[in-house]
Amino acid sequence: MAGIGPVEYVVIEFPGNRFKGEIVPVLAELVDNELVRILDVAFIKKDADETVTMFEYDGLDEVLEFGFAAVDGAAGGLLSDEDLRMAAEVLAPDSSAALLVWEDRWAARLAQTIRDAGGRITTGERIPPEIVEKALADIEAG
Amino acid sequence: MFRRRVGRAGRPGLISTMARTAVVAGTASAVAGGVSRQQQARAQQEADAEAYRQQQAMAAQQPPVQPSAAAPPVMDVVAQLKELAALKEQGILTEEEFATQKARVLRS
Repeated sequence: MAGIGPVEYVVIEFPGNRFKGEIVPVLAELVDNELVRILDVAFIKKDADETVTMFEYDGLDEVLEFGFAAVDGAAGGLLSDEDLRMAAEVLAPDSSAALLVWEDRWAARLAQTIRDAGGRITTGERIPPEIVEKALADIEAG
Repeated sequence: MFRRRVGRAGRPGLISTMARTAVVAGTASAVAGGVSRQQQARAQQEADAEAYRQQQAMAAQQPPVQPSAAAPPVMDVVAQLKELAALKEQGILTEEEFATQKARVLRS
């Protein structure tokens, strides 16, 4: 078993005061295929008047309805109350968001190999899609 | 099935730990695309907006005989560039739009 892979958090925001269930089966597939491992999850609602409410995965009927609780993973401990407050600040008014912390299992073996070889990944960043698209289009154009 | 672990209260947290570490290391501006950077951008925007409001208020208080003492143009350009950078950071402007607007500000 390789060591822990890269861990990232994502804030998935949807407009309106309602969570969307479409992501649940896709997430479940990633988990089942051992591409990601969910380390923590929490939900936030922000009303039009910027009132913020936070929920656990089993604290909201509509989230249970989507079968979120059936996805394999853990909840609690990693994201603190302060984390949720910080994330809530950057949400748009009248929106609902899922906060996920996951481990990129698909990269764990690579990460372990790098560590075993005495190397380390010094930095990295996720590149916004529009920059990638432009760069690729530039290559295509010659 | 989800397993519930310990609660959230009093935990160090991930996002906040990253933000604190970045401040200590003096790399706050280099924290990758996260909540803390968006917060900084927002704080900057609010500070800029406040500065603008104060500037307007001061301008309104100026006696009419004085030619409207506009803020030094350099500050104006810096503020505009910061604003643009913040908009890009938040994904409101694309890289291309940002470049166009930045060029416009620098020309003005």
